[in-house]
Amino acid sequence: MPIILNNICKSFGEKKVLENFSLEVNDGERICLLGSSGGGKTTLLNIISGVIAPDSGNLQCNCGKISYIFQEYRLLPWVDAAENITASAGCTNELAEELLNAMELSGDMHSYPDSLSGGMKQRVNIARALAAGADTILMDEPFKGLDPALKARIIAVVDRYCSGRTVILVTHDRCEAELLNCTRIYEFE
Amino acid sequence: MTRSTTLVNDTKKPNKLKRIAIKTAVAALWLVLWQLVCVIVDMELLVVSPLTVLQRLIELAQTPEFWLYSVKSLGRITAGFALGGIVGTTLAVLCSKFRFAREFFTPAITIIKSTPVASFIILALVWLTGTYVPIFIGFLMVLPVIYSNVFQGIAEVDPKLLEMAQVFRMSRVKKLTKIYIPSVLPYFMAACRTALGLAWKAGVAAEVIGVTKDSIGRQLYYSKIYIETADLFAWTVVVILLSIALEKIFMLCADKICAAFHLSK
Repeated sequence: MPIILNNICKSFGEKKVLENFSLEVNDGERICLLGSSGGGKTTLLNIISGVIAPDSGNLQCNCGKISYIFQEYRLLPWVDAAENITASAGCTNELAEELLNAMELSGDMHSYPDSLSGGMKQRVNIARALAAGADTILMDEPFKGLDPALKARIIAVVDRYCSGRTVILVTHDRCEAELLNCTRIYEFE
Repeated sequence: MTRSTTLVNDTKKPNKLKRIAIKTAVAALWLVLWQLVCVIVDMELLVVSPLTVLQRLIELAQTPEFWLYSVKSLGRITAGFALGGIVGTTLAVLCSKFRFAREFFTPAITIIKSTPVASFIILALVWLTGTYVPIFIGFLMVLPVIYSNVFQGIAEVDPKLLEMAQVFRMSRVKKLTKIYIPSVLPYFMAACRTALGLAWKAGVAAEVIGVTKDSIGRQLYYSKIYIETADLFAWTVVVILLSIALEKIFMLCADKICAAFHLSK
């Protein structure tokens, strides 16, 4: 089922972040929302995920289960990397281990977030979203903090695991959208 | 050109033996000061020497009553503490979830917090039989401390983690065990530590005023009536030792619980 946003408006205090924003994302489509900070891209993902409600407008989102690669890692500080995935995404240990291996974190499955670097936490964050078995995956700058070579390998893994799923990618980097085979790029002003 | 840097750790922690030596030295210094005050005052009725207290303590420890009173007082205060902990936590959860509960219970908690403990003890003596007075007083002292801390802990659960749980559709049980409990636990532990001391002080005060049967408080009361200053000091030392022991046991349990949740206290 597609995601349809019609004339979505959202303000925070006096600041209008989204004004009459409309977008349609087809089932299984990969789109990229490109633009500089403060344009409302994260707000849009938060509205689609149901974390926040729009002030006005119409949102149709019969897109099944959603998972989200948050801009901040949002990992549980008191459980290790593997349990962060199983506890949040509700997947098996085997899948969590498989994804952590794919994220090149095989040696850190039982490391706690406070002992992981920013890039490692981000990869756990990505693995968690992929493990959830969601129909739609929202990605908010998912590859930030990764060096170029690692980024390319991780994008390839994400591309493989996202096969057949709807993806909405938020990024500043057009290359990421191309590497992830996004079919449409929507530029935010 | 190569440059090497050597890091010198000049803030080394003193080793265990050294720490014990320092603590022993400090305790010895206080005992010397106590002895000095005793010599200056020169009236055993007012200040008893540490040696006399120790002798009296050894004498008391040889009687079965000493252990009976100690165990019973410990039991009462622990019961009041546990009751306060359970009710305080339950109320905090209810008040966090339901606005009406918060509006309803807040004045009661405020009154409990600001009412002098002596007023409660006298009221409790009117309402309850002797044995239950220290339990009730311990409960009243512990309740607001646990309530306030747990309530604050719940309020300060990271909203970003709750949003993550919402997006990933984490079950209620998972949210409770993986987010709420580990987030609130440090607040609960800190409250328990504070409340434990309060429960002891107020519980023993209730035993003294209520002259509770088979209690340390009653022995303190008799020491005052019969002007047995050595007994008064000895029983006070017992209260202090039991309080320290209980706190140590609690801290040991807290360490284990926090380690299980990968939390620092």
